[in-house]
Amino acid sequence: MSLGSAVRGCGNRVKGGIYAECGLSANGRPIEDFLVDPPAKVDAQALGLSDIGVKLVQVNGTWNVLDIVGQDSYPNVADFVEEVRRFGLSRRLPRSLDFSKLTPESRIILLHRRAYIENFDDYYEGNVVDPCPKNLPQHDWSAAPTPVTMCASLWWSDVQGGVNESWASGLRTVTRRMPSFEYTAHPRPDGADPRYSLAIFASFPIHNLAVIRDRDGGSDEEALQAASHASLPVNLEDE
Amino acid sequence: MIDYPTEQLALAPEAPVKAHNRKVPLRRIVVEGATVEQVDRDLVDSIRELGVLEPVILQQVEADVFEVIDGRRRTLAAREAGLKSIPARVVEISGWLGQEVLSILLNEQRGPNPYSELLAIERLMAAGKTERDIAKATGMDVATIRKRLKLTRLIPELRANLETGVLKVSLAEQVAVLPEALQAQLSEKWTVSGKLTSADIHAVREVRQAEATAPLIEVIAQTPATTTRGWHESVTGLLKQAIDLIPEDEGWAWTPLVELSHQLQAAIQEAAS
Repeated sequence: MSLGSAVRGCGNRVKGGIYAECGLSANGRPIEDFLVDPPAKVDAQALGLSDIGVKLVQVNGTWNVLDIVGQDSYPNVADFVEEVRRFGLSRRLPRSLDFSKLTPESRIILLHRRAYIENFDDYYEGNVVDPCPKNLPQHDWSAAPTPVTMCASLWWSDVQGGVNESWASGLRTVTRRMPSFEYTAHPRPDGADPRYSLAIFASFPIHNLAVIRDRDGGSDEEALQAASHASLPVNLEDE
Repeated sequence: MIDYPTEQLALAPEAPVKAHNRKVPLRRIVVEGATVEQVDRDLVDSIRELGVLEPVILQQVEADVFEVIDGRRRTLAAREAGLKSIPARVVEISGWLGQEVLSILLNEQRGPNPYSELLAIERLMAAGKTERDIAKATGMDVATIRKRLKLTRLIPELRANLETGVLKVSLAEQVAVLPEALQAQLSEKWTVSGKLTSADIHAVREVRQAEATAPLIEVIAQTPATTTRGWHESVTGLLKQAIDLIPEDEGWAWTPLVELSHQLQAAIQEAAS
C-alpha cells in the first residue's frame, strides 16, 4: 500500500525522493506500542544530530536512522503521532545516505525539540490530564499523584495552534487541523510555562523504502539506484 | 613593498595600502594581544645581539601613537632587550578596522596562524562585522572563519594554553567541540599528567559516545521490532469479542472458548519471557 496519498504536515512527497516507510495493517500493533514513554532525552551534539537531514547511528551492531521531526511542519509532537496513526510513517531520507547500512532490523528513531517537558509537574497543578498512552503504572496519576517522570500524555495536553476551544469532561479541548485530518486535544493549561528538551518520542521498524516516481523524466532512477543498496524492499511509488 | 591583495577589500581601503619605512620609538608603540611573559628569552637575546632584522608593521593611530599590526613579540622583545626604537613599516590604512583585516592577510601570506586569526576575527565580529563581511575583506573563506570561531568554545583554562602556544591548534580544534564538562575533565587530566594527547581526547569522546548511545539501547528495547501482532495476540482479541457475545449459561460454547483464551494468554506470556 502506498503511504503517499495524503498531504502530510510536511507537504507532498517529492518526486525522486527516497522515503523510509512503516505501513498500517488491520493486524498491526497500536501506535502507542511505538511511543517512547517517558521520552528519552539525548546528547544531540555527541550523536551528531542536526535539524536538517538524518543521522545513522549504530546500536548493538545495527544501524538506525535518527531523525528530528521539524517544528515548522509539526509544532506539536501529537501532530506527528496522530498523522502516523492515520496514514502510516513516511520520512524522507537524503539520497547521499549510506543505504547499505540499513537492514530489516534497522529502526527509524524520531526526535522532537518539544518532546520532553522539563517542568512537566506544572501540568498537573489543578488540571486533569489524559491517561498514559502506554498505560504505564508509574504514570497512573490517580494512584501516584506526584509525577516522577514525564508522561507522553502531555503531548496531547500542550497543543498549540488548536481552534474551536470548548470544554468536554472537565477538560479544555481544541481541534487541531492538519492538512489531511484533524484531531482533538488540549491546549496548554493556563499558567504553564514549559521548558522543552529534545528527546526521542517514537521508534518504528522500517518496512520498506519508497522512491517517488518522477514522470517528468527525472531523477527516480538515481534514487532507486541509491536505495537499492539497503537490505530492505524498495518500492517505486506514485505520489 | 608588501603586495596586499586589494581587489576583494570592499570593506578595507579601496586604494592600495601605503607604507613607509622608519624607526619608531618603542615608547610610542602600543602592543595589544601579547604580554612580556609570552616573549621567548632567546628572541630577546638575539635582538640584543643582532637588533631587529625584520621590520615590524605598525599603524599610526594618533599623532605620536602606533599600534602593532604584525610583530608584537618582536616589539616586546626589543623593549626587553633595552632598545629605544625599532625599524618599522608604518602603513596608512583608512576604513573600518583595517588592522585586523591586515593581520589576517599577513597570516594568509605567511602561512596561517590560527590563534592570531581568531583574535582578529573576534575583534571584527565585536565591531559588528559578519562572517561574510570578514570573508569578503580578507579573502579567507567562511568555512575557515567558522573553524577558527569554534576555538572560542574552549574553556578559559584551555584557551589560555592555546594563547601561549602550549596547546596545539590541532588538539584545540578537537577539544573545542566537546561540552565544557568534558573540556574541564581534559584540562584537569592535563594538570595532573602534564600532557594532553589525541589519545586522551579520543578516550573522552568514546566514553561520551557510549553515554549518548545508552538511551537508544533503551528505546530499542522498549519498542517492538515488528508492527504486526503475532497470531496469538490477534486471536486472543477476537476470542475476547466472541466470549463477550456468548451468554455464560451457554456453557457448551462459552467454556471451551474461555479455556482456549487462557491457553493462548499463557502461550503469549511464555513467548514473552
